[in-house]
Order: sequence, then structure tokens, then C-alpha cells
Amino acid sequence: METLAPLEQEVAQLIIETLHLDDMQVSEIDPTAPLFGEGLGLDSIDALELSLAVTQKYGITISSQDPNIRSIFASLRDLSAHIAANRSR
Amino acid sequence: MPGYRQGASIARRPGGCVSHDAFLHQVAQVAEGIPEAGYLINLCEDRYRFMLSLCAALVRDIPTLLPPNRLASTVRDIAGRYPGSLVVTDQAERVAGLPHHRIEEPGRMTPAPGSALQVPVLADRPDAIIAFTSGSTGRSQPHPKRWTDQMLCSLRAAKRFGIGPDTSIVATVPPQHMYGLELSVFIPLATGAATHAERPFFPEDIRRALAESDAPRILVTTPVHLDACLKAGLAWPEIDRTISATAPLGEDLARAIESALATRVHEIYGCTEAGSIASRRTIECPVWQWYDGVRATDPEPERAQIEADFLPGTIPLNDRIDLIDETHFRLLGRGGDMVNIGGKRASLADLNLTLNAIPGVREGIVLIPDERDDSPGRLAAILVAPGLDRAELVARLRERIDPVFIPRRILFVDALPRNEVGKTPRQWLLELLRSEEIRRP
Repeated sequence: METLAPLEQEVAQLIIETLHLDDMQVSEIDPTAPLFGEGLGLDSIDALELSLAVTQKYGITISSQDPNIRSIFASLRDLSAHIAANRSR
Repeated sequence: MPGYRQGASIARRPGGCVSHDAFLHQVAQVAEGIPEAGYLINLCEDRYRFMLSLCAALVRDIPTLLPPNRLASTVRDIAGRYPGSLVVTDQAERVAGLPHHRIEEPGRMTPAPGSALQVPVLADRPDAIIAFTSGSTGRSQPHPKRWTDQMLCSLRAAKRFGIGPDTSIVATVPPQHMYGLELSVFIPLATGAATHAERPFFPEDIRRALAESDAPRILVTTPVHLDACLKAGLAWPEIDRTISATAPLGEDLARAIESALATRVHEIYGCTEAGSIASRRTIECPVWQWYDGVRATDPEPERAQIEADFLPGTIPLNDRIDLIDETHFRLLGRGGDMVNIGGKRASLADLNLTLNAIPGVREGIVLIPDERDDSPGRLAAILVAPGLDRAELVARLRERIDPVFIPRRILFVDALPRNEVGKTPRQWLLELLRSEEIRRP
């Protein structure tokens, strides 16, 4: 598995803490694997919780109107890239 | 359509509002386009297209089936039990092996020139709408309803919450769920209120849908969404009332929502068997008030059954209830077997059957980890399954149950803790989860 960039590590930690994935380590998250469906197996309530954590930590408002909404949560790498490009804190 | 008013709107869609007249024309057109079928499984995600399909089914006198979730296995199971089932959908995805009928974007439907509005005469069959709950046998249990009963129940709800023809409704729950069906589909039909066709998801989506709608606004939602809205730190438009159901709403969360969103928060009490039957304003009192027309009796202490003029018979309630007087009751406890997560309901017995049926699982137990927490907590599982890992187990579960019910905490053990009579006391299981939490860094 690829190594994680520093922001990816931070976001992976945020995902684990937010969603209480108690039995997972940051190093176990594949940065390119899908977060939802297969891969981590997250669902819509997770998406809500995760969006909130991202809003609170990085000051990004997430909306379904965003044309890239599907790709934002596609993988840890995509989410981290979205945060890097849009963060206000 | 009791709520019909010429010139008024019944739905708000991206292209603008749909008038009652346009709606009735479109119902007729959709009804004409639906092929012969024994039953319609309505999977439309757009609330307006769901409403069109539902009413078209009534016009055609075809019962509508409302699956408890969108999983292909669930839809196929229901279709297998109702011969001649046709899936109506507004989505591209298909459930393999079943016939589908696509409900087109209504904007593309052009009314036939000079066509006069024909008000259809609808039959009142006892199974016009069949909602499903998961049952203890592992299969979805059908609960047939008359559309006239549904209309009356929704009128009672509308009266309770002061919903009238000028009200706008925004709902975060799907129309296939009884709660969403009553509040966001039947109340508009019964009162003429306008419903937002979208199902907003993120707090910003909910804020935008409310801002697009005219006051007075009603938000129909769940504790999960309310919690997210509260934390999102957005500026909210005026919301006349916020209605919550599907899981208990903590009084603190209700108070915080009332203050941050400048709204009044009400909870609805109900079940798929009966629909919504009572409500309370969460911050005012712990006591619930039955809707008008509901009569409750308790042949045994704490076990109530209800009748209503909008229900075909007596319905026993799963929860423990203390009847105070003819119109009020206290909710003592939720039925032990049912779990509600994010507006979805399943029985623990079913989930346990499912878990134990997975190849490689020797024995396992699904449990609700913490009852003290009012927020809709996720499930945990403790199991003996040498050779299986978390990823494999989750993959197998995903094929069988709705993802919200997949245990968040999964603990693999060598043996389940059993007492002298071979039972697995809940307290022991909770302690096992807790000790595991402490052990981890």
C-alpha cells in the first residue's frame, strides 16, 4: 500500500476518530480505496458525520450542489485533495 | 384530492413550482404510461416523481409496494412475493431480473393541447399502499393501507402541527418510509401544502432547500440530521416547526435546536403498522398526546393497543406505555428488539440471524453498545469467526443488510461469555466491549 502524505495521515486520523473505527489504524487505510461501499464500507450517516468534522476542522462547507460532490468522498486521497484546495483554516 | 386549490403549488422542484393543476395532468399522463402490472414497487428518489407515481398507481388501481430499503435483495424478495411486480424508478440503476418502468422528468411531459382536467374516481382498496417492516422471521412484513385512511391520518397530523395550504415542507427522510410518506407526500395531498422534491442531505443542502421554500416552513427530519444542522454553524431561515421522528430526540438537543434554529421542535410517535399516532413538543413535557381519533387501551399494564378512525383494526404497540388519561401517555421504554438508525428500522433478532448465517461465523451477537446515549448509536458485534476478518465480514454483511446496520465496532473473540445457563448476558457483552476499548491505545 502507498505511504500517506502528511495531510492524508491527518485526514485518516480524523476519519477514524469521527466514525469511531476503533479497530483501525491510520496505516490500514488505502489512500486510493473507496471510502463508501466497498473499501471502508461507510454509509450515508458516516458521510454526514464526516462532512461535519471536515467543516469544523477545515472550515469547508460541503453541499450536494457542489458539482464534484461524488468525487470529494471517493477516497482518502480525493478528500484530502479537496480539503487542501478549499480549506480556510 | 382534499387539498386541491386552483393556482396553488404542490411541489417545489429545481425548475420551479408545480401547480395543483399541472400535477393532476401529469398524474393522468403517468397513469397512462404505466404498463400492465400486478403491483408497483415505487423506488423514485425525487419526492415529486414518487408522488406522481403513487397517485398514478391509485388512478390505475394498482397497489404500491414500499420496500423498507433499496437493497436489490430486499426488492427482489418483495417482488418474488407479489407476482406481477413492476419497479417504477427515476434512477438509471436497475434491479437485475425485474421489469422496470422509468418515470421521466415531468418537465418533458407536455399536456395534450386543450385537454380538460378529468378528476379520476379512485377505488378504496384495503391494500392500495403496502409498507413493509422487518419481522422476526427475517422477512419484511407487509402492512397494507387504504389511501383514504392515510389521507385522514395525515390530516390529523396537519391539524396537530398547524400545517395548511400555505405551508412549505422540506423533508430529509425518504418518501418510501411511513414517516416521510405521511408528512411529505400525504400532507401535501390532504392540505395543499407544497413539498420540496429534493431530499436534502448535508446541513447546507437542508438550509438551501428551506431558503428556497416560502414561509411558513416545516422541516421533517431525524435526530441525526438535527444534530448535524446544529453543529454546522449555518444561518438558518425562519422555520415554523421542526418535526423529528425515527429515533428518540434528547431534550438537550431539542432545546439547542429550538434556540439555534429559532423553531419549535416536535417529535412524532408512531410505527409502520399504525403510522404516526401521537406527538409532543420535546422541551415542554415528557408526555405524549395521541392524535385526534386515536383511542388507546391497556389490557395488560404497560402493554397498550390502539384503535383509530384511520386504522382498519386494533394494533398492539411494541413499546412499554403508561396511559395517563384518554389523550396522554408516557413512553416508558422502546420495544427491546427493534433498532432505529438514521430513520431505518430493523429487528435485532433478524440482524443476529443474518450475522450467524454468514459462512465462517460460528456464533455471534449484534448489540446496541450504549443505551445511555440518546444519539442514534451504531451497533456493535461480538463474534467467534476464526478465518474471517473485519473487511470480509463487512463485505458479506453488505450483501444482506442495509449498510446503516453494519456493526461499527466488531470484536473477534475466542468464545462468547456465557453464564451458567448458557446465556450471554448483555451486561457481560457490554463489559467486554468496554474492556476492549480501554485496552486499545
